Amino acid sequence: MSADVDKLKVYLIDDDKSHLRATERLLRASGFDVVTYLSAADFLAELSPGAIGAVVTDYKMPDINGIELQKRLTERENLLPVIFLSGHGNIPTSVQAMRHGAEDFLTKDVLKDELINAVNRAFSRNSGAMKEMAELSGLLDKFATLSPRELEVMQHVVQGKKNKQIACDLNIHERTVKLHRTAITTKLEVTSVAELTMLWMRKQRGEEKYKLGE
Amino acid sequence: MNWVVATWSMVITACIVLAGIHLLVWNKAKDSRSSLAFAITAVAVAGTAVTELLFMYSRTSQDVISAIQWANVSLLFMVGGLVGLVRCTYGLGNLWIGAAAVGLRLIGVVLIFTVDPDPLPDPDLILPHIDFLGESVTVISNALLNPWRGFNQLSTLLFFIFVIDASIRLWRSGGRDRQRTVIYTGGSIIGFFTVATVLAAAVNQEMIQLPYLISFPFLLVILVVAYELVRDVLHVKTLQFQLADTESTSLLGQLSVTLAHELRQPLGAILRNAEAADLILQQASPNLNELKMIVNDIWKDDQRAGQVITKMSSLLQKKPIVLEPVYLDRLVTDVLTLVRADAVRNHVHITFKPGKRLPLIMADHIHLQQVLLILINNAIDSLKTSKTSDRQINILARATPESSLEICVHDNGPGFSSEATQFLFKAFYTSKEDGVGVGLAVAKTIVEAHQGKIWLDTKNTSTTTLCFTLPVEHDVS
Repeated sequence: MSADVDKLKVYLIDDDKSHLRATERLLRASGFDVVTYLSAADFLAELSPGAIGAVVTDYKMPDINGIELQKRLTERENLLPVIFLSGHGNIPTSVQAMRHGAEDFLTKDVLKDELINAVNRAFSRNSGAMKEMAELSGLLDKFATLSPRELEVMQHVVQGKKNKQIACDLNIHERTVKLHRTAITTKLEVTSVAELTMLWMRKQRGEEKYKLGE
Repeated sequence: MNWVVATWSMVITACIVLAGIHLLVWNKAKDSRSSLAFAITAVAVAGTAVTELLFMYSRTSQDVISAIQWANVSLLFMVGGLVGLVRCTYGLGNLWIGAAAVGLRLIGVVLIFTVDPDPLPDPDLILPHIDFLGESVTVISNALLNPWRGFNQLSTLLFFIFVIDASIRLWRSGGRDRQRTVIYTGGSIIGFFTVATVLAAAVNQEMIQLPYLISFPFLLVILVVAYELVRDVLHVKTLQFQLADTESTSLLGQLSVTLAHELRQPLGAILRNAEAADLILQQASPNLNELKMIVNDIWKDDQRAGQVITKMSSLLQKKPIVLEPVYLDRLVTDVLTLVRADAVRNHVHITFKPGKRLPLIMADHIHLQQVLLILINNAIDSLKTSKTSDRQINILARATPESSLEICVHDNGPGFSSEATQFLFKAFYTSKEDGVGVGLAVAKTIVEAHQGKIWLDTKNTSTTTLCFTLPVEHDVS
């Protein structure tokens, strides 16, 4: 069963068959699209990069447990939020899970509303994240069109330096600086220094948030 | 001041007091039979001292003969008590030799009471006297010696062999503590017994002019043994405390975590199913088929939860662990007797090969039996599904270089799948249809409560091997 790229789905993982079946029933009856797996390994094997939605998983499982699953998802730079639904509910475990970036940590005895709310929150976070990623992708592509020299000049421009200063710092003609600036504004499709600066900041922040370019 | 009566009274009092204390101990804990054996020995030594007194104040030949008769009775009980003591405390010592030593003394006693000596002693015989500690006391005359003393001498020889045999085995079983005991207890028994025998012989041969003084070296034996016994009891109590501590924290704690987890699964599923059913019922035309499946699932999960609770409560029925010296040979043989019928029915052939010089371990006899039963029954169950006609279970025991006792149960059955290997010792994991999967978890708990380890040995691929170790008792200090 391959994941439909455009549909938000709940990816449900639990090694207990009865619990898996029951939770699937509930989520379907609540209007979600659900895909079930008996193990995290099966889920990871079928996971496609275009999958959107959220993962709802048991915490302690025999082969790959919850924490391990989170790590693997991060390695793949996958943005699916992970909700833990655990039979063990102690504080250290939940703190550890949240530290590793879990969306939520619930115990198996929570009532359906809490579970459904958690899934919805995860969905919107995922959609939001997907949008941000798409934007960031676009930004990165744009900046990639600049040559190394142009990049250098641009970094000085966003620091607020005048052309004369930049020419001095980089040991080039003021005229060359002006040429580079024109190229930059054309390639990046900006009309002012302020816009350029904003674009640059957005790129930096985005890279930091998604830990790219490290 | 009659120093003779005073001195002998002190010996008698010391013995009676020690005997009394150990009788109290035995009364409190009927299973510490070594205390009973000790009490008997101590009373016997007191008896010997009394007869020595009687002897010293004998006036006629008949008095002397009576004194000797009762002295032999005391010695009978003393040897009996010491044999029992060695057997009960250490579980060692050849039973036949010990019994023979006691038996010979018994024969001697019967003979000395029933058969008149030949020739009959002269009732008017003047008894030799000496000055001893300021008193005039009777000493033995050649004419009145015990005609059956050959039995006593042979008995003493056998008794020595018995003690030496037990000492060697105890020494070999290793452990600094054990070796210390051998030196002190074994050494003192043999040493002082020898002194007593030599003294008695010297007096009998009239080589020295002294009354019988054998109750003194025997008192020393009593004192040494009493000291060792107390040390032993303290040691066992310490071990029991340690065990109780580890047992309660690990067993109970572990079980409650397992219980919580195992119950949350079925309960969680029941909750979700009920919630799903609730939502489905709110739909315009609810799918009855799905509702039927939901009801069925709820029912099954409820049963699952019930089973968990039943199995848990049987696990939690804690019986206190009682430590005692365990002779592994005998334990395994007992267990094999229990499983023989089942093995025969399933055409399984079981062999047991104990290694040489198996160390002695302090363990709970019953719990250890349970561990072996679990492992052997698992092996038999595994072999039931085996296609081969050659169904073998081999049990091997050996002393490891790390000074522990290692016991392995091998079977040539189909073995465990690689997935099963991971949760082999986890509670409620089972591949059996009707199994609940607590066997190995229980075995693990028992072994670990004894400070041992249990594991699946994967060296040999043609057999399934489960091994566990038990540490050999070491000096606690």
